[in-house]
Amino acid sequence: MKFFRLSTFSFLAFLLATSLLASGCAGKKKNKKKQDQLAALRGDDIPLSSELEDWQFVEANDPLVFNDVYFQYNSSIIREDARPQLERIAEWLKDRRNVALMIEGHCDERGSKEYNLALGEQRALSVRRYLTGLGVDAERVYTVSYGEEKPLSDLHDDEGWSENRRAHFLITR
Amino acid sequence: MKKFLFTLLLLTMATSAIAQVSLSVSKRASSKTKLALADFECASSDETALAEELKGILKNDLKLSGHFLLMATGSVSGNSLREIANWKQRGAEVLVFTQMESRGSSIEVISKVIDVTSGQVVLKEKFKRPEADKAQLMHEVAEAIIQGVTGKPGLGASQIAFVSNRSGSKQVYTVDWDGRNLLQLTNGREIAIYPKWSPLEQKILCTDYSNRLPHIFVLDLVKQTKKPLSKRPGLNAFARYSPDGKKMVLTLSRDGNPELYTCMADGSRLKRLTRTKSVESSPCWTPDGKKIVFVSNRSGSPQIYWMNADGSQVQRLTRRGRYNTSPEVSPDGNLIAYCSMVGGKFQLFVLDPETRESVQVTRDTNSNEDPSWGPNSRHLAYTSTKKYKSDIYLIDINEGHPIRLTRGLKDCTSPSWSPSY
Repeated sequence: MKFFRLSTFSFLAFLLATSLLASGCAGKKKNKKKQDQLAALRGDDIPLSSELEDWQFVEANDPLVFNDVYFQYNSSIIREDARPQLERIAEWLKDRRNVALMIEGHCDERGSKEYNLALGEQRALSVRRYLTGLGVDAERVYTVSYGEEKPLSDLHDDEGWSENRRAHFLITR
Repeated sequence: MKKFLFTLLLLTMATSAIAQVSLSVSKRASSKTKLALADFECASSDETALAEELKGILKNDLKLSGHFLLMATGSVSGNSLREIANWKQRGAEVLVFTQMESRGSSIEVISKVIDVTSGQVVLKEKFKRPEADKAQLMHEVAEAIIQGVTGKPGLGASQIAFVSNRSGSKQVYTVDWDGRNLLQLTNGREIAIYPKWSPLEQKILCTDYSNRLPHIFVLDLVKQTKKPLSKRPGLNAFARYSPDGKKMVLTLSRDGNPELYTCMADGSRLKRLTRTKSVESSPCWTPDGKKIVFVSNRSGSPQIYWMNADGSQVQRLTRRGRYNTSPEVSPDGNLIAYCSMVGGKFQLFVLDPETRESVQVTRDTNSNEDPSWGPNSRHLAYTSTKKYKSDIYLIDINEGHPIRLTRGLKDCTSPSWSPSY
């Protein structure tokens, strides 16, 4: 399944690359977006957009679209079952070009706090990369990690832990 | 056969660890100095109770340093030549005599330390502090005695910064290493976590969410100010000043992945050190400033690495354990403390970076993590968690004996021990 995903992605990357070459003199911003999308499909890092001036993110009113997505223990890889969810978010964002997205990365309480803060950021970035790969403008997707500092569930068992290993979404009004 | 081999391997591992520890313990036991602490001489009899209290603090400090065997002194107080000879006969190697006087609101102490074998005065020094700081006064006296006799640093009047949820939100606090003088340093609406003491100054770097994003702030304890040093896009965390105070090392995610960077102490002139697909966190410097020790999960699980301060020559230091994090190099540069997951809980270990040998320090049923070295390169402050309640503890890596530092505060974690000023 993983190989299938990789090959689909590289095929998409190839298509994009050729269309990019063909379009040639597309606008600079559009060009940047395509470059980011290609980078995302290759699995490369996409630098975060310039400083966030002020915080205006709120909980989304659309719970069917903005469900949390979950991760395996000590992993930031996007799970198979998270993909339809992320595709819905990507479509939603593509329809509303003036909305920005904040992805919160969270971890369970096992593991050490500092490492988990960095892991939470990697989870958020991994979601950002996936959305960028689906054609969402990377410039309007931000990340914040809380590590294990803001658990959703206070259960200290497998159920609580898997609920806490999540990416949560906020949007601008 | 396979099972037998495995057991054998376990056995050898266990015996080698024990052998190493017991070897160093026996060596240390013999190197303890027999010390007689005479009752304090007071200027007036009203001061006897205060003198007893101060002697108690001094006695505790000397005992805790691990360098001395304290002899029962009874009510001996004189320091005549005859008395010294008497102490020599009883096996004492060092005598400590103290004169004390209250002057208004301050206390003055004269400490005299005699090497019984040579008959020489090792130390004769006057100390003075306001009465409110009597504990710090005795810590100063203890520090002078320890340094005078052993030539090594003690804990002095050092402090420990940590995070507590006491106010309902995680904030940074400081407390003296003996549990006195608790002080809340940050008081924002958002959390302030992972304090890291400057090796030179009364400054603490922390990861603070005042702007609702993880940014690096510096708390200046002298000027009593807090200001941002790094607020780049994404994660800004775990910053530490270099030993000369001129630079910082930290984790940033601005380029799309959590990586290590250095910059100047004011946050300018960024230089990227790592370029990976993995998580890099918790960096710290060796005291010579030449190397940076850090955590990376590039092998698939978090492990301890070090590299040159320019990012070259990365080497993995931990070989055993599936989950090794939170490294900190001792102030003397000889050992790296870290924590490792053992049976679902963390335990503290120390690692010799030359030989890459590790020795387990804590073995209790709590989960013990986030070690931070005391200025004597011998005690560690750490977070100990039992039934989801965390407190800060101290432990002597040579002798064990965990000491609980925080009580009745909510959820105390992430200690960082100050240098001795």
